Amino acid sequence: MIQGEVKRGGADLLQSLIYDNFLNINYDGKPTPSRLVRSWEQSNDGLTYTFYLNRGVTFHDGTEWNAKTAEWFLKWCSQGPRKNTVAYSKISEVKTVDDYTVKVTLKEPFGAFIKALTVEFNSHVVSPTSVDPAWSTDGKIISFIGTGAFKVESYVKAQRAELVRNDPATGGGTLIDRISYRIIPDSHAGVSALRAGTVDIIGVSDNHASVPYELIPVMERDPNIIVETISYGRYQVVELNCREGPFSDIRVREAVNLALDREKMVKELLAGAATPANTVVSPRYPFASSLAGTEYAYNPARARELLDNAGWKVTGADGIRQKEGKKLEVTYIVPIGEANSESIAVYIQSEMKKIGIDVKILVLESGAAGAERNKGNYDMFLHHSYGIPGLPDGPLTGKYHSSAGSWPASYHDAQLDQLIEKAMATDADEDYSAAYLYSQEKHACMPLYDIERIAAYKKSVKGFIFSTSVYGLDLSTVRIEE
Amino acid sequence: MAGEISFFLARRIPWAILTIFLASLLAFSIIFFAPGNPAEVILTQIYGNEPERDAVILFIEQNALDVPFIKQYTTWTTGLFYGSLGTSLRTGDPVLEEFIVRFPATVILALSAITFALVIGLSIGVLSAVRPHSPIDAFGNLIASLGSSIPSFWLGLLLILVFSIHLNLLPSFGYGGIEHLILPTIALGFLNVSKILRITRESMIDALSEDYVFEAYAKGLREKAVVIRHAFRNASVPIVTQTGLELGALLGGTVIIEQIFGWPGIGSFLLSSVMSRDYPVIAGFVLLIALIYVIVNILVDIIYIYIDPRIQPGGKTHA
Repeated sequence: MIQGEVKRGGADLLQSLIYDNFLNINYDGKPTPSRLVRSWEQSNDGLTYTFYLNRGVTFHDGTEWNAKTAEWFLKWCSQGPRKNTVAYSKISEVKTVDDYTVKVTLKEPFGAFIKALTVEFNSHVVSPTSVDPAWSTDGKIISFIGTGAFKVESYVKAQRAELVRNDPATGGGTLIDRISYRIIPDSHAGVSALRAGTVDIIGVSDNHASVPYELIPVMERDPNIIVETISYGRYQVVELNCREGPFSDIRVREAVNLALDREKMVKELLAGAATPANTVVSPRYPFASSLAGTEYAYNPARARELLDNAGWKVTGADGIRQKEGKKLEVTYIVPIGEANSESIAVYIQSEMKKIGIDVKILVLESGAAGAERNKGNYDMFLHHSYGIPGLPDGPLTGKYHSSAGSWPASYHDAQLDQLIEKAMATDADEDYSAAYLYSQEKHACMPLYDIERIAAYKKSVKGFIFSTSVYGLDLSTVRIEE
Repeated sequence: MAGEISFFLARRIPWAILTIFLASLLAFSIIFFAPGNPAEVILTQIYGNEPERDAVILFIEQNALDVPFIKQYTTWTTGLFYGSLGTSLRTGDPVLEEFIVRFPATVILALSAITFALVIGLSIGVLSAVRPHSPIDAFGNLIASLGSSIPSFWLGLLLILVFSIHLNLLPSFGYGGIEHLILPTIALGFLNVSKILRITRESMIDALSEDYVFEAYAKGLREKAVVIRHAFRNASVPIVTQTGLELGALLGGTVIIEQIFGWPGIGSFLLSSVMSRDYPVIAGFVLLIALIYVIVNILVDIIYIYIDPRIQPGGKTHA
């Protein structure tokens, strides 16, 4: 029994059990073949993609996976409910080449096209018989029919889902053949349910850290519970208003990054369960290898020097810096619902005060916070950035390209736009790496820590592995040994 | 009496309809004019990060979110006359369906919690009033103080810790059999125990000091008969009022208890709809919750007539 939420049409992890992705992704964010597609080719002009499909795969209702269903699926993506996805809006034509080969032609080259086919909420392959009307290329999904390891036996809206293994023979008698899916919205109650033995596994149902860090030591003390964590490179960051206000000065941006003791923050506030983040994205990925050696190191003395150089001087008894009669006061918007946000905000406030910056914390409901962000009405804004598969392109196109509508006040300039556009066109690691290095050199944000995903399960649960994507869930290898 | 009730209903129903409409208008307009864009909030929930600008524009167009407030509200109210409360922006399903699938769970928990509160609150309240300053009265005071000072979420987690984790007697969450109902009922009902206990004790003490009670004792009636037939009946009007108010509130959904116990009621869904700016759900749910409140209030007024025929429905008292 696992804990989570059942939704229809969203990036819900339950769907990862029911549907296969068109293409998969590895832990480094590279597209790989899937159960449905064995390989693909791209034409030199970047306009045509040919997909070679695997044979012998059927949907839960017996519909065969072949070029006909693949052609329908890609057309449905570009004409139906997923047509607002940029990658699918680029599709001009889908053609069947032979029984197990389809060809897609784009209107214009789009480097991230293959990548889009790996992202769960875009690429879960649904059966043409599960939309209404069946086989319609703009039909609405009315039932859960995929090719995944589990199929839906029963589903009671807002309450429960019962899944059974699609092919019991492959279970070999030891793998789990049934999943009861329940919803426990409160994370503390989820931990209690695991400790009480009511559920077998928790924390796998959310793409954020749904198990509170402070409860990790409690679970680790329980001899019947195993806790595991994984990084998808999803960083919790403070985005800075680089358009106006104090952070429009690069020296102030660098200063705040040097003034934050991230090691201490993680150890004392997050039970040591997270990893400090010292670069705009994690340098362990090939697409951000250029960031190695650029990590921020705690250096409040240098931070003070930078602020002095920027003209912000301590003049009054309160220790808050001033420039041209104006105090160095900044507004830090914290959207409600961000994990660990309150304690981290207070910590940042105290760290910034040490170098003479007065941080005013403004906790806002997420919709209201988003409205302020869209207008650029903030100096600092807490944001959970992108993880695999949202990396490497997500932070660049979503936040730092000047066309990023949700982040008009993030760092933008023509050179960065060019670097991002080049990376998007080539999809090459070195080009992404160049764009990230430039962002880091401009101190575009204040990275805080890596939001690691946490799974906790009973000792009797064996063979659990984290999926390769932050939005994925794979229980096909799990078995229960009492 | 039937005539009185008919007259009362004829007077109350138009006001009730107006109240319900005003509540939904208020809910619709507050959320509409609150900062935050439903397209962006909902797509962020789906995608896990801020959506692309094109996706937001398309969502706005598909759901006609760019038309003026008056037009959106008029469209929604017009739908009411055809029995439609609109469609949820988040789930794409009819609002009425979203309500109907969740409301039975809310009703079960509300009735269970109020029954628990009535049984405990009335019993201890009456005994406390009959034996003031006795050990049972002291116990009643303790329960009342605890009930009004312990937050229900804390009590819920404590109950899970004791009965689910340590004693392993009851499930810590879920919806289904009677065993799933026990802990949320106690967590939710305990505050109401305190309220009903206090009001029962005070009303009974007042009633027991009335002349007709002494007269009843003087006539040789036994204590049980005096307390139940004479004093309690007269003391029950404020208890019914309090119970009606509490039941109305419980039927409006209980977010925290639903979240802790994974109880699939309307409260959590309404809260997440508010967070998502899902106007049709908010307006529809508020309309239905207001309707329930009004019905409970009317029923309470009717019960008054049966308890105390001196009371005229609608609040007046016969001279």
